[in-house]
Amino acid sequence: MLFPTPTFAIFFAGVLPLSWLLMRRARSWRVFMLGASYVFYGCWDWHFVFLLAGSTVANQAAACAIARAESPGARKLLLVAGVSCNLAVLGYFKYADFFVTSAHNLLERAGIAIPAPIASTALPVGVSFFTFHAVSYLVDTYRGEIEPTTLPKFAVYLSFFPHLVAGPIVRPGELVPQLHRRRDPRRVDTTRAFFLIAGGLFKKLVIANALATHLVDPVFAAPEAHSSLELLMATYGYAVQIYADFSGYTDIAIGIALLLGFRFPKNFDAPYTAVSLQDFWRRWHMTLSRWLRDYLYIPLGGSRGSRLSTYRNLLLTMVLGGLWHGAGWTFVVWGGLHGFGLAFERALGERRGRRREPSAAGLVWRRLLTFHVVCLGWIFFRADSLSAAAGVVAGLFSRWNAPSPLVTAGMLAAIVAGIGVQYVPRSLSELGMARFSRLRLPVQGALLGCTLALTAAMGPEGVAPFIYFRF
Amino acid sequence: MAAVEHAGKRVEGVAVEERRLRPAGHAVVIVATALLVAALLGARGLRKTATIQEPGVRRDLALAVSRPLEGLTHAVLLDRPRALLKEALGRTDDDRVATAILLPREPPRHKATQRPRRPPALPTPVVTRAHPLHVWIAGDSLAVAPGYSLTRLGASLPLEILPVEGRVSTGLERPDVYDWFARIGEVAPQLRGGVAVLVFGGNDDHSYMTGLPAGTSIGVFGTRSWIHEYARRVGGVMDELRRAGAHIVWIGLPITRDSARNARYELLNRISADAASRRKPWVAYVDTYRLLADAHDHYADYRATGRGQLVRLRAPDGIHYEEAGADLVAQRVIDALRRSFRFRR
Repeated sequence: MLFPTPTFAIFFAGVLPLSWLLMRRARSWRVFMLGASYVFYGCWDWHFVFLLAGSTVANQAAACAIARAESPGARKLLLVAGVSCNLAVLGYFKYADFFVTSAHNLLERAGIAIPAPIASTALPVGVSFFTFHAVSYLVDTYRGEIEPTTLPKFAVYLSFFPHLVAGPIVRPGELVPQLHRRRDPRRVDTTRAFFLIAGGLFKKLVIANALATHLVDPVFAAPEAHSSLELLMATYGYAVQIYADFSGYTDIAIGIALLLGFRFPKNFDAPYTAVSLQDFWRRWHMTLSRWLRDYLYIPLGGSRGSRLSTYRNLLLTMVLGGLWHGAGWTFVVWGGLHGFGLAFERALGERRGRRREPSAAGLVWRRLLTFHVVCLGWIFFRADSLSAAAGVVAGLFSRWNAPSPLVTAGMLAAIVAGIGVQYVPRSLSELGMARFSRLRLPVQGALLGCTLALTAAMGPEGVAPFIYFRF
Repeated sequence: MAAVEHAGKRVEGVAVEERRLRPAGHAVVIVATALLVAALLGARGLRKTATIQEPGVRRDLALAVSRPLEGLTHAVLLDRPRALLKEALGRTDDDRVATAILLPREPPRHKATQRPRRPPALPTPVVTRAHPLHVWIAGDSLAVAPGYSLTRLGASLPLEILPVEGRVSTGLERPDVYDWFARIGEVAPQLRGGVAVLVFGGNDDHSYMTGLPAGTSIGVFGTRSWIHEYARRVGGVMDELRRAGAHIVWIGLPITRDSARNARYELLNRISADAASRRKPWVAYVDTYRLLADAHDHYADYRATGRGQLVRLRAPDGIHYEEAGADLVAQRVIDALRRSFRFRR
């Protein structure tokens, strides 16, 4: 079930009042919310509901065993076993194809002929996200940061439909306590929820879909057939598309959770205003950055060792973060580029030591540089293969005289709007929300309805899947 | 009395007004009002969304709600803002639900006693960079990947490839979902001397067909009446383009992971191949079913290349193409073009 569809609107129009009505009966609420979340997930492929349920039971058992184990060795063994099982499931669904083809090609090179495999594995929607949630639960239990909760509460935590398929990645310490206490039905931040939902829908349906359909997809599908200007605009276009698509989804998710009385962590904070790659990763997919930091970078040693080991840890974390997005060399290069960039920035900072704040011109220069390094990474992230990415990069310098029919005023406007909106001061949107929150209820409803109708009319026919669903 | 949030008094150093928090009941009322207003303003879109669903209870229910809603909003002019916006965006057809299709009359068939005439030999047009061949790739979602592959592989040839038009969930069976007959009628005059590369049928393996001539009814998928009507549509599309002076390359449907679907696709392929063979040399048929099957005519996700490297041909859904599979199809299309046109530098 996709958020921007009439089916979801009907689903949510039923879930919202029932959720509040059942709030006083905690057990009934959990059963209801678990059922609603499984219906939401089962709409893609009901077979995978069993995978989700199985993962829930197995991880709850592992977490309880970790909490009960007395010796540190046993606790560690149980944690390793639990995390390995989660990664094995993820690896099977996500990387089986990569391993099968790689093994086949390796054997072929060694002169061992084996028949080609017949069928591949279908990827369950959101498997990466619920696996990450489950790993968080096990590791936080092992570290003693949380106590295992009950199975029904953990089941709701893992499958809660607003975050289930594409995040944000909510730590158990953030969501499980909210399941324990009764939410206050008198204080719902409806205005912020509506702004997030309406803004998210507009970003996805209008900006991301238009850029994908009319510029990015045709150019990246056949880079050799396009001019340098089209390649450059498609690269900027993809930077805006992936931001609008993914931040749009998580904005809607956070808004829906807010209406149900839950607070999710922020996932994006104007990432293209970043003045360095480190700053970028504090603003882009913030919950994944945090997850990688806490469950990968720090366990690898973080910045506790020598300089070289810190750089190695940065590089490893980013390459593994790249591979999380998909099994392919393009993702390795994307992660590697960010890893090298972060290590380089760190080395530069250590060499220069503490300096005074950069000037306004210096900040503009840093923003431009960071944005273009990020865009270079996006070329590899978007391209189907390394050779295709190399074709895009080479084409950026070699075909400036060719015509550029795909670079239209509409596409330029979408790119400028997608980047420009990140420079709007937060105080302005806060002011807008404050004013909106004081309007009478029917006026609020009518304004929200008009925005939804406008977005639906401006969006293309049908809804393209969200980019992050395949991760 | 609604509560007030005090948390956001200063944002980025700027004093901002406080935001009122609302009771949950207010949230429900606002959501209900918003959905109602959005439904009224977008009733035409909702009706279209309901109409294009697969036949069944869900569609019936959606139509039962959206039809009167559309009538009501039309009566009180609430549909005007959406119509004006669509007009400003140049997308007036978005909400149109086609109920009839326009096809050229079928050319007379030869009597059984007559010897079939050999197709007329056409002069082979010469195509150069100065006078490139205009190519339009269109059809359902199976047109997208081969279309992009053709754009890429054909970059070194004297081809002027128009933007690929692959429309998800469309076909020749349901003009109410998308009216390809009208679209082809629009494009055909611009394709004189050019080529239309078409892919249809991927979503046409159902019994439900709209746009039937008045007073006509058809049987379920595969019956004589169904085949006759579908063949009329396929032939009509080919004739429309042929009359405009365009060549056609018709890409057949590929073998899929689902054997029941394969049986239906084979029937659709037979209809298209038959219509193409009767319109030679204007129409060339590209058989992708065998092209993408393995040595035993079975479905395969992967294939080893000439150098022994394993590549993935098919998307995880077992129907659509990955780039390598689409490249194979596009290469066959280029081969077909080379048979009909002489490419010169």
